[in-house]
Amino acid sequence: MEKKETDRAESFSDRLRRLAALTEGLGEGTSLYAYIGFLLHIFGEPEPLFTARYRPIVEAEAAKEGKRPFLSVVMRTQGRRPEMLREALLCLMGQTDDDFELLLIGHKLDEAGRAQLSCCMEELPSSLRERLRVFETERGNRTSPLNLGFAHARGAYAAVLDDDDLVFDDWVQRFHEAAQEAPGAVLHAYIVTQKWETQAGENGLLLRSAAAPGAECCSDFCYSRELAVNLCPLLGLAFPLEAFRRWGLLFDESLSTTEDWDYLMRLAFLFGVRDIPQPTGLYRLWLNAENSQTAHPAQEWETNYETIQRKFRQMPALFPAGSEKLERVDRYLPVLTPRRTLIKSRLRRLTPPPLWRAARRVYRALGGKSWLG
Amino acid sequence: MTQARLQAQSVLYKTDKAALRRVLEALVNALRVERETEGLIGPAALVWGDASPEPSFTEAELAGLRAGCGELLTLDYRFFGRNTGSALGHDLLAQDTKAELLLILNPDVLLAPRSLMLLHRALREPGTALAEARQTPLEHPKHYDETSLETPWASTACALLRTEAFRAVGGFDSESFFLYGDDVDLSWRLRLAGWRLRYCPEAPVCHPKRLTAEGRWDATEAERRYAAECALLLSWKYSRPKRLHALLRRYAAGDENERLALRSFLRRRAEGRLPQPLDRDNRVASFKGWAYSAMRYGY
Repeated sequence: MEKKETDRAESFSDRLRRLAALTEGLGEGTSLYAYIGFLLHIFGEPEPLFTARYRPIVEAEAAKEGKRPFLSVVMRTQGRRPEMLREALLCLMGQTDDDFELLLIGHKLDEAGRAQLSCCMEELPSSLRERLRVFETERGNRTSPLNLGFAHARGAYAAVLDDDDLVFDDWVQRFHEAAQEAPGAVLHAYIVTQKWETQAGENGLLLRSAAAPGAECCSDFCYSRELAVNLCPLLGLAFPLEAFRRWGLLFDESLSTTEDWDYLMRLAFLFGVRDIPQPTGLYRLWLNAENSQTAHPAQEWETNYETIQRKFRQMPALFPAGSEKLERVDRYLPVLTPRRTLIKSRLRRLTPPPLWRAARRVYRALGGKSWLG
Repeated sequence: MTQARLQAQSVLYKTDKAALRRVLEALVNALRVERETEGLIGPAALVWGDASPEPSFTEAELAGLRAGCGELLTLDYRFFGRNTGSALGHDLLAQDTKAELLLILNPDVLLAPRSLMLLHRALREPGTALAEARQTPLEHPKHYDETSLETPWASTACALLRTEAFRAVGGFDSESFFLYGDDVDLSWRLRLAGWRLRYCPEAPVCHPKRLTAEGRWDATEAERRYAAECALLLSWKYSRPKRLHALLRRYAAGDENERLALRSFLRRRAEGRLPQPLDRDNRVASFKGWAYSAMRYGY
């Protein structure tokens, strides 16, 4: 098994070398040259943070004996909302596919949070407790626990469940099936959203759904759309752990929000995305409880958004064949020009409308003279 | 304080065995947590009534399952040899129990570790006959009183009842209801008898449900058919002639499930097998649109 892994690694290195050789014939100003350079950088030396902090953990986990599960479920918690945590754990108890481990990462726990967490763990049935490992970290922002969890993960894939998320009983199973169909790809399941509220009760916080589930995150992954807006809740994603273990692709710890969006896009353009066109989880939008929206000021969200957009702009992107649905150019015309009536009438006369001819007429209608002849 | 005896019971029909194992483990675990925390529930039994065409378990499989229950729970298995439906199945299982507490449980519903303890705590409130668990990940959208947590009717997907109250009202009406609506009817009869029903948002249970790709709940054919039949029967039984006539007209021009439900209702009426009407002054039964209570939102 180990030899096979080594062969695969060498073969991959050979491929990278051949790829590098290609650049000799390419001008430095070409996109291909830049893209190959990007790949060499990504798959070359990992980030110093990975080498210093996480590689030793990865190597220690690799040295351990025992069966490796399909999925490592990483759950970060501060132990401040035990009612929600208990419900998320209940959803894991009900999974139809038990080929998963659970890594619970206590982040900056205070004494009360640690006690709550300990209580929740003791309550679990043995079959889930046997698959549970608990870690604690005081370091960093909400991104650091994800990297710590991924470093300890022993599965082929990792999924992240926040302590207020809910998943359906086929959450693991659907990931498993998709991974068998598209090994190594990022897995993306539909997720419904739902407004929830809390109410004080004699036995703790009472949780109550407040609206019908929404389907705004129930659509296939679209690379171009996702570059502009994050429509993929983290609980609907599973990442191939080789990206982390072998190449040290980390969550960006400089980001205090939307770290998942950044990570998703960086991996999506390298590993591709396999859709699971079925809702497998429920992302709760809290009306009156703390959540990431309320825990971080708007300015912080904006700064992180700008940072991520800058990273996306600097990242060469390879769109997998067939991943983007090309649409008729006239769909966008009304927003491009006030002369839409004229342009629409010209476009209507095109039967059938070859794309280049339509584009040329549009360009001329806009006043252009030289493009496309 | 004296410990109460508990009988948990489920009616099986071709139920997935792996799901039953998970349910069993969750119940044993909930008993352990209750025992370690409050210790007010004593001897506990789980009774599975199997309405499948063939027995779901062999003796060897049952022996393995019983071994996993330890001393916390005894597992009793009864093969009915016929499809009793939910209402009759539960009535048969409950008829000879000596337990003070009855946990009606769908065969695919998992108790959260603390939920049995919390349901029991709610049931001890004076005048309460039934404590209903909150289903997750999809909560039922029915209205309940946010202050008193009283509910006009309770789902028995997972509900803890006082056996005395269940018996006093005659259990489920298995003559009228087969699969759906039996819990609405039981709820209303308990309320007619002066009992209170308590919704427990603090006690979640995992009830597997699936949504369509559009995020909608998609009822099965059986669910549509028995829901339609139940709507007719409840309108009749709870003395709502106008609503009954509106439904009869609607179903006459409805889809196949509605027409089947209509035929079944008319056949019962012709054979004199409709239940005795209750609640003539409309004290407990509430019909909002086509539902049995106001809804917080619709699916």
